[in-house]
Amino acid sequence: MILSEKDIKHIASLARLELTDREVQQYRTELGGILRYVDQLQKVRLKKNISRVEKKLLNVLRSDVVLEWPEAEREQALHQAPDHQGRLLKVKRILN
Amino acid sequence: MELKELTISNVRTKLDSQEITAVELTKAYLKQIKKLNRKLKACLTVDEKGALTAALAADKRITAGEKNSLLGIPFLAKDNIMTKGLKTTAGSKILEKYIAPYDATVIHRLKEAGAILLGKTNLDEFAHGSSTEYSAFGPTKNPWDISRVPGGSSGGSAAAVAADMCLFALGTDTGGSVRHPAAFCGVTGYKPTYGLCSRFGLIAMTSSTDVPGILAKNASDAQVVLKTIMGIDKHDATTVTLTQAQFNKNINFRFKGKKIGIPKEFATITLSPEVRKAFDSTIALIKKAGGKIVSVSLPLVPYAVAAYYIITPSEISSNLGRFDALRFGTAPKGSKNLLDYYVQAREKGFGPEVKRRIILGTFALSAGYVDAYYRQAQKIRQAINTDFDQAFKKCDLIVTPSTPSPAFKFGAKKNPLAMYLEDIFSVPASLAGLPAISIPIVSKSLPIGIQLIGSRFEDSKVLAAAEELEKYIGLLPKPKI
Repeated sequence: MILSEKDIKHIASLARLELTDREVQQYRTELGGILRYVDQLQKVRLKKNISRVEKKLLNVLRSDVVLEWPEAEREQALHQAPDHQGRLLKVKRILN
Repeated sequence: MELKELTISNVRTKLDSQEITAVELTKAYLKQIKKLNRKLKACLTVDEKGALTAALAADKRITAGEKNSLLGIPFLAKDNIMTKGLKTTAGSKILEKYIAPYDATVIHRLKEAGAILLGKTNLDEFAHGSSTEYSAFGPTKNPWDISRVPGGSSGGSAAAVAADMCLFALGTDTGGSVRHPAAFCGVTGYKPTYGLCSRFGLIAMTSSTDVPGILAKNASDAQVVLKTIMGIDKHDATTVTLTQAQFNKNINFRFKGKKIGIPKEFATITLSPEVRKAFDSTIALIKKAGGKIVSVSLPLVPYAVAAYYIITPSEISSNLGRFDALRFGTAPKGSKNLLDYYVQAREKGFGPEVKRRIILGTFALSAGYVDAYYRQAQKIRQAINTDFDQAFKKCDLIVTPSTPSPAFKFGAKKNPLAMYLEDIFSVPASLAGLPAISIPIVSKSLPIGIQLIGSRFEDSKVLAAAEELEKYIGLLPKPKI
């Protein structure tokens, strides 16, 4: 698998990353090397009945209720935001 | 007080007999950190005030007659583990100023037991790496030779234990991040079975293989720490309860008469002469202890690193999606709109390896490629699980080297794939969620790690075997720093 410059830029934009031209070239070469290595997975012939996940797994559920969080911790968590007002986080507007 | 001679068990006796106090002990470790950290950069944060307050409280509990294996024991924690009121940076610029609002479950349990948190240790950014060279705050140096890496990603924790900056340290192990640096720094590094210890409060990397791990002076100390941190946690749905009886079932494991497997597929991996020699001498010791060496087969294991470097970046690309600098992180200056804000925050906040993994993972999960890469890797992972199940029908434990070579020089693994291949011996146990430990041997002037892997939830067997093997290996030299 070889990735083009356009591929790298497209993938980066999906991941909300913007790359410089130098980074695009660098990642193209490096990821090319990594993909050549992981491409060996394509050759592996597995038995038909192999599932992707463990069959014995169970879901762990809890009731859908609001759990109290200590006020001091909540304050501390809110204060990690670059911008907040009262109990709300401030972000740039989405609609113009 | 000779710090290099101390272990959790011998300190316990000294504390309980009030030969020393927790405050004296804590001061001695803080002094050692101050003395060596400039040279080694093992710690990113040192909490002198918090540690002394905790030590004072521990002394009160000891004087009152309380008995607890970790009461008054000073430790360090990797900086991707949340510690209330202290910086938790994950070694990344994007979390440079982040202060955790709560403790990870493992930290909470250690604090409750009276263990004393001294500070936070250096790591590869978000634990992505095997050398700590990817830390945004500069690399940790190997205490045995400061021109060499300490391994990674829990390199700060391993170097700190090797340099007697604490009695034990917490790390995290996703594909070998505890065992690898333990091998490079000559300490014991233990990765529990996935699900035995809570991941709540660990900054997520690969949720399906992340586990908290322990770096300690020996296997018996690791077991003491494990007993405090393990067990079900309502905040981590993947944790399970192991009853005392289940855990203790293998606690008296001895090599005598037991079968120890060597996977034949590993025979093709090139080992450095020092590792080859150390591994051969370990095998001789296992035989001396009465163990029978048998050949086992793990047919899909040669594909483990390839599968891991699809699964891991895929989960990373998803887990690191939350870093948008809205709820935490550093806001970029002068962004045009919300999208531009995200992009700039991530562009400035993440280092090159983190971006590389996000891009690789986003690709592996993208339309048109998800079947060929991610789904195929998951199937191979499942087949590796089955391989191990089959192998453990023929043997009690599996033994391998922990790494193909001893610690390398800074800058020696510039090619990312070369760095990924450092995990060749550690990744299979991670993919299968198995307990594994790296214990040290010293060859010439550098330490070498030997890995023991056990069946799921047979952690006590792995630890008991490691303890017995350590006795056969005998006393090791210490690094001269």
